[in-house]
Amino acid sequence: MSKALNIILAIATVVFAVLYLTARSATHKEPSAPVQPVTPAAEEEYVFIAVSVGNAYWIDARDGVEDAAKALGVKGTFTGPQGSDVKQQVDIMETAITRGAKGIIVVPAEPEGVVPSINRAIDAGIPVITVDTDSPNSKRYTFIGTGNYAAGLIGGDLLAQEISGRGEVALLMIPGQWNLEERKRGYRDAVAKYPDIKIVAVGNDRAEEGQAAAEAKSILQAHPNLAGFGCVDAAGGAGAAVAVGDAGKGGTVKIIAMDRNDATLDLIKKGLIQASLAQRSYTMAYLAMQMLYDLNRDRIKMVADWRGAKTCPLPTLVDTGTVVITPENVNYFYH
Amino acid sequence: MRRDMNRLTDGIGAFLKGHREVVILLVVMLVCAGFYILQRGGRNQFMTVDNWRVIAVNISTDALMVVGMTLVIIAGGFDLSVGSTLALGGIVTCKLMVIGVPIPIAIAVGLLSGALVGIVNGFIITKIGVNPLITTLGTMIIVRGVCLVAIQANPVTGLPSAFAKIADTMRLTSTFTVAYPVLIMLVTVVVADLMLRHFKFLRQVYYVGGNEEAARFSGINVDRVRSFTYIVTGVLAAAAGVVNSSRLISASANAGERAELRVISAAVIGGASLSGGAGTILGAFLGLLLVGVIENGMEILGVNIYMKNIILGSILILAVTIDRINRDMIKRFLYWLKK
Amino acid sequence: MSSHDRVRAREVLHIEHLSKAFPGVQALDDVCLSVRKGEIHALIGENGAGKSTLMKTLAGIHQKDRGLILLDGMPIDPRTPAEAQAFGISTVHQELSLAPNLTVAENIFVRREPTAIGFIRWHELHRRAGEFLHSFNVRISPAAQVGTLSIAMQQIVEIARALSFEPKVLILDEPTSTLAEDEVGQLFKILRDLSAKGISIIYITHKLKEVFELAHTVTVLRDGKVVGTKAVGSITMDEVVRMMVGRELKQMYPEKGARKGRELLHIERLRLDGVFEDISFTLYEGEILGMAGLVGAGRSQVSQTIFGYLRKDGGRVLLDGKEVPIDSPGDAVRAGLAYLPEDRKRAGMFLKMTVTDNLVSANLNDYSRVGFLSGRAVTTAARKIVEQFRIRTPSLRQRVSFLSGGNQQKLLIARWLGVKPRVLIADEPTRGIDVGAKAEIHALLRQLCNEGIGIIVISSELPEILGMCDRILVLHEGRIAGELSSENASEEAVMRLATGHAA
Repeated sequence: MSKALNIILAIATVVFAVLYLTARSATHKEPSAPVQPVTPAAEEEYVFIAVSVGNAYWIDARDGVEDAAKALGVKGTFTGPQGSDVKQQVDIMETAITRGAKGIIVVPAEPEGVVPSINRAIDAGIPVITVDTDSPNSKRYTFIGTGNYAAGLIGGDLLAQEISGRGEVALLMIPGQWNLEERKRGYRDAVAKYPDIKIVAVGNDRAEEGQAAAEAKSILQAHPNLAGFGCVDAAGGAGAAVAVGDAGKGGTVKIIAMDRNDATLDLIKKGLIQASLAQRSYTMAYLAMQMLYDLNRDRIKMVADWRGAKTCPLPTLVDTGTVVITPENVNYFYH
Repeated sequence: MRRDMNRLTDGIGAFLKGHREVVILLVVMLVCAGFYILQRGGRNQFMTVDNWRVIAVNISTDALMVVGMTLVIIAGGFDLSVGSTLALGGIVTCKLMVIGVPIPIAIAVGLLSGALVGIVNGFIITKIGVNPLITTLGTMIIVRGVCLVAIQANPVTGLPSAFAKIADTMRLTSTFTVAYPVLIMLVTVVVADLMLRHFKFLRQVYYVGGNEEAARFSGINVDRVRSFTYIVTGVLAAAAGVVNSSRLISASANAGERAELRVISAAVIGGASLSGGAGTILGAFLGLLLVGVIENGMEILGVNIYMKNIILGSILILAVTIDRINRDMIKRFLYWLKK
Repeated sequence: MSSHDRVRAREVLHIEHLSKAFPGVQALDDVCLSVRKGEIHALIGENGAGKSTLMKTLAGIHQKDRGLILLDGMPIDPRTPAEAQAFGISTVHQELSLAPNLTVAENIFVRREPTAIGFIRWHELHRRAGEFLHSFNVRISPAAQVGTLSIAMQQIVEIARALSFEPKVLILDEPTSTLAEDEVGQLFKILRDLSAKGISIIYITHKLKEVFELAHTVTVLRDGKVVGTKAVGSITMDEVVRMMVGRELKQMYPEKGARKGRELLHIERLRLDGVFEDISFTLYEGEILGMAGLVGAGRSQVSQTIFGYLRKDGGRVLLDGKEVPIDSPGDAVRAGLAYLPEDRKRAGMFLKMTVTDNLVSANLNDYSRVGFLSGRAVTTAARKIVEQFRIRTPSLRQRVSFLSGGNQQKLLIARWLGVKPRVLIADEPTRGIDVGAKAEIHALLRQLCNEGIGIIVISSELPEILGMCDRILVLHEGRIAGELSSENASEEAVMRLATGHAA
């Protein structure tokens, strides 16, 4: 009896494999054909692929995508992997390409890993914009972002000012994450200008406030003369504040945080965090959606036929800058 | 009448348990049908050849690991370090290529690094006797750390273009196209499954996992068999890393994150019992296919990303529970409902 | 050749002055034993007498300290199980050692499957296995998956595997502990065939009846020494028991109850679909009611349903004339029922916990105040119980898994008495327990009965049922085939009802 079933199984697999291997796809595209909006607008799908999707940081970007989709009358999908494995991003991108997305916005987990897929999308006629982190070696049309390095520079300078140009500082981050490494580089270079400031520790906050607090506490214990913390991701600030507060050094040890989640904002009001660097994540997402929408409708008439000319009318780089949140303007940033 | 109903449910239960692979295949087809129907709007995006190509490529690296993991689980063990070994394999291979080592040799050394992890796992588990869960948890963390240290979180880039071509491009033979990773996956799965069914040495894993003492008394070298499964898994994980790097034309330190949980879930869905002695590679592959199809379907349907985990976790629990349901449980459940 | 040598020459296995010690105990002490070709030699003794140590030494699992083992006149010293097998000694252990997900053929020929460049030749393998099984008249398909076979069939596969090495000596350790009566008969037939073919069999058991039914010779071990070796025809069962226990065992079974009390438990038309139906009977205070029947007749399921472990499909349970709704074991305990499970290791005891913990597990409330457990109260109570029941344990904090079977069972009974039950259901209460402890348990049960508790005993050992019970219910395929009073009961009467022939 089970022999018969095994045979059925084998036949089913073979049939499946044959179906798979044969025939051209139903959605096969010629690379040079223009994207016609033959599909009703509501089915025009724009896919935003983030990274570490559970992180509160992406709330702004998600709002940007959804608001833009509503305003433009198209479908906006916010998606991405739980972790920061670029392979999973690529998987999602491939799925998006195959199902005929009309535009892809991606936050590359790493600049290189996404290159083949972005190029495949472009070659298939799907415009791609990178956001927040760039993939300069790919064929993406535009990068919209803060420039992580630039943000780090501003943060480093702010921290230096807060501690009056002298003292020991520590940085909190998630090691290995590309954009954070860039910010750390910015902090380092900024601080290097101040000969009396030394970075004595770089802690791993594991993207979570509790872990950040624990890490910050150990750093404080190891370096009792610490003057300040520089945090390059959203979890670091709140965590450092907890550690500093518990050690009774609230306000004495200065903290420069990252991003605008409500917990950080409260701490700025309380004076435990001196300032936070926020990115215009909402703007990045909204702008990207708008740009892709306009591009698809050939509205930016730099030349009559940009595809034929092989020059995309969109800007290559858009710097959305850094916003410094201080006790003065903090109230405006609550969600 | 009742007695007949009972016999019927018992019969169905026995069928489900005895023919796991067919059941999963049916579930996959059911899920496909479900997704197909649930697609809003006119256009079919799910049941297209292109989409299925994407699914196949997406699961190709996990599939290599699932082969090894199934062997490990059947032999009564557990390997959490596959994700980290994937990253290691990719990094070792790519670093060597960047400094000019010929591609085949670089790949060979990469695979060897995976074997090394497997040897370490096997040694600690069999000779020192540490529990496999703890051991592979340890190697998972250590290997991941080694990866971070080796490349200081900078992904390895600047790989020779030939590398990307070899492991990733479509091979065209008129209208037939297959992606190489998919080909590698299918060949590995089919060969491994057949070998596990017919090759005497491999079948020893069933003895070792089914009843370790008895296997020993029968003269089976239990330690050698167990070590073998870990080494095979290490090599396959490294191979997955090589394929992964070729697809992404880079090697990063956080590749293969969470892969171990996906792979173990796939093996368990496919019928492998965590207490050892049961499971097939075909079943594990189908389990992986099911997970891949569901993930893909959820993407296409635009399911809220925060829901995805709940759905995937529920499927795993469901798959394992089906094994354990028996007639008495059903009766108790119905009784409880009546109350 | 002297006559001594001639005798020696017919001997397949000759053991001389074999000794083996473990830290703290001399397991084998100067053991001398001989087995002739084709002889079925029973090895019997209480728990701890040394039977399993002797077996494991012959099987290469332990190494002897001193002494000589001669196989066909040649001295051997097996250091591993594989060596013992190569010499010609095959062992079938009590715990099954098959791989459940592989086929019968694979299990029989483990590591010796016919292969072509490493790939198993299935056709050849199945053919060989089929031939083998056929040669001793067993109808099992070689391609069947072992996990799907019944325990009895699995045991036969295990024996087939042992035989596939063409041994000179086959050692069987308690082979019938999980078999039903008719399956035992089938096994004995196979063993007699083997004996006729010239294979010597060492049969380790504690079931005296089997010794007298099957074996040619019996050797009794006690405390690691050989008490005596006799031909089965030349001694009586009592003499064997005396040799085993070293003292006169006054009575295996205590005197039965003279008078019945009032109606205690009444079961009315109890039904579990697909398993049993129309079960009605009454249990009186102060009586021991036996439930007999073949394996699969439904005895355990009936008692489990009464106890609430399985949910009934129909029928009523009345205690003292009032119906009690029992949907779970918790309800049953509150109503005053207690249950000793068949598999005490899996379902009865907390093996990793101490004697004390196990004793008080059923009525923790008695030792607690405001939710906190009083350690002192628990220990005092435990000490009293251990004394009262004469449970032999080195300390109260001993892990229960180290106790002998008999003491474990006594412990379970003691535990359940802590909840002061009205009815006690005992499923195979003396399985796997040696003769001396068996008698103690029988006495204990009768004592409880005389104090007014009603007891239902399920047993597959007919002598036990006949010796212990005041009345016997015989079940056959899920129905009550008949009821026998102590006077009309006999082995034939019970068997007749159990196999479905009219009384």
